[in-house]
Amino acid sequence: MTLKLGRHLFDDDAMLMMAIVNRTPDSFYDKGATWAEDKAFDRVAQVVDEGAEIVDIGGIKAAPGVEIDADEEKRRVVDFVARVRAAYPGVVISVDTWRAEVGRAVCEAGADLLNDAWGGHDPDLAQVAADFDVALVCTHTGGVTPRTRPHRIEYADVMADVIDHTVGEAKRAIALGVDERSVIIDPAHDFGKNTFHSLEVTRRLDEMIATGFPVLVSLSNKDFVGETLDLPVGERLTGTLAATALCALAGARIYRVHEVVETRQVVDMVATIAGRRAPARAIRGLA
Amino acid sequence: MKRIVVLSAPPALLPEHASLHDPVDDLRASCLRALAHLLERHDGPIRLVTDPVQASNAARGITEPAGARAVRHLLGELGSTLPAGPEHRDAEAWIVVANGSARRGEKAPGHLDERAFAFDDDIEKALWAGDGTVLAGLDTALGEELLAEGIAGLVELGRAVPTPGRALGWFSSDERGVAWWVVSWL
Repeated sequence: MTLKLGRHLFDDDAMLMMAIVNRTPDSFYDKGATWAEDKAFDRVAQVVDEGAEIVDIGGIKAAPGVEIDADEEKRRVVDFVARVRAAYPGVVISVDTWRAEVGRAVCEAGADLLNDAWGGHDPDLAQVAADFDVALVCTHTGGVTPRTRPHRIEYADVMADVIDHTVGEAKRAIALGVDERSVIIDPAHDFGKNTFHSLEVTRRLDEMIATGFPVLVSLSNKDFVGETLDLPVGERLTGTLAATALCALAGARIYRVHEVVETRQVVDMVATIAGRRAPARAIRGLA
Repeated sequence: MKRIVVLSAPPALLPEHASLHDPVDDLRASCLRALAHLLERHDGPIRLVTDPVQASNAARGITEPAGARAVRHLLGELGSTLPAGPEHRDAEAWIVVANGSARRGEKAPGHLDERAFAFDDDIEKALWAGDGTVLAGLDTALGEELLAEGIAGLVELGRAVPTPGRALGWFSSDERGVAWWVVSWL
C-alpha cells in the first residue's frame, strides 16, 4: 500500500530512512551533540544530504532522567520543526512525542508524522494525527509508563502481544479518522522488553509484516544489541546492521537510525538479494 | 532488397538483468532506434540471425541464445508483434546479432588480445561502408578465439548482401571491453 506521510507519498516498495535528530542534552547515543539548535539543524542538513527521507525530532530522551514537562518539550521542538519545514519542504518531519499537546503544536508548525514511541500512553495523540491529516506510528511498550526501563516484565508470547496492541492502536487511529495509508506499526525494540524479547520480535518480524500495516523498526545502537554482543554504546553498529538486515529481509519499511548511509546500504543490499530491488548498475559478465 | 539491422545484443539488455541505472543505456537506445527504423519500413516476418546457444550454457539448460531473447524483448518494447526468429529464412528483413572481440583490454571480459583491434576494425569499417565482401571473408575461427559472437552470421550476411544500397551507422563502442555496433543496411 502507498505510504502517506503528511504531505508526502511513497511507493509501496519504498524502504525509508528515518534519521534521529535529538534536541536533547542527554540522549544515550549522541550525549547532547545536537542539543544546540544550530547543531541540530546541521544534523538535519547532514542526514538529508545522506539521503534520509524522514527526520525524527525528539525533545526528550527515552531513558529516565530529569522531568521535562510539555512546555519545555515544546520549547525544544516546535520552533525547530518550523525551521526545518521552511528549509526542507521535501523532507518528512517526524516528531517523537507521546503528548497530544505537543503533537498539536508541532503539527501546526509543519510536522508530517507523529512518532508515538510510548505506545498510546496519551490516547488523544491519535486524534491529533487525524485532525491534522498526518501519519502516526503505533508502538508497543507493554503498557509501561513513558521513560521507564523494563523490570522483570514477561509475556506469554511477546510477538502476539506486540501485534495485538499495535494493530489495535492502528485500527483505533483509523476509526478516529487517520488515513489508513498513514498508520505505521513499530514493535519498539527494548521498550517494555528485555533483550530476549527484542531478539524474538526481530526473529519473528515477518508476523508483523503479515498484518499488512507498514512496519517501522528502531534498532539503532540499542541495548539489546549491546547485551547480545557485550559491547558498549559506540561499538554497536555492526550488530545494529545485522539486525537491520533481518528486518529488511522480513520487509520492514522504515528504519529509525543514527547512521543513515550504512543502514541504507544494508537495506538496499538485502532488498536486492530478496529480489525486491534491482542492482544499482550490473554489467559484470553481461557485456 | 533486404532490410538489415546488425546489432550487438549482450545479456545486459535482457529485462531480468535490469539495473536501477542502465549500464547499457546508450546501446539500448541505439538498438531501439535502429529497430524502430526497420519497423517503419517493414511489416512482414523477420529473420533473426544469431550464434547458437553456447554449449556450456546449453548444458545448463539454456535453449535460446541471449541475443535472440534480447532482440525479441526490444521488439516488444516497440510494440511489434511481427514474427521474428531463425526459422524465417526467406524473410526480407534480417536482424543479425553480432559483436566484436571481448578481448579489447586488460579489464575486458576475456582480458587483452592485441589481435582484437584489427579484427574489429575490419568489421566496423565494412559495416559502416556497406561492404559485404569483407564480411563474407571474415575468419570465424579467429573470431571465436577473440570471443566475438555472431561472426558466422556476418559472413552469411556478406554473402547474401555484398553491396547494400547504403549503410546507416547508429552506434559503436568498446567501453565495456567488447566491441558493440548498431548499423542498418538499407
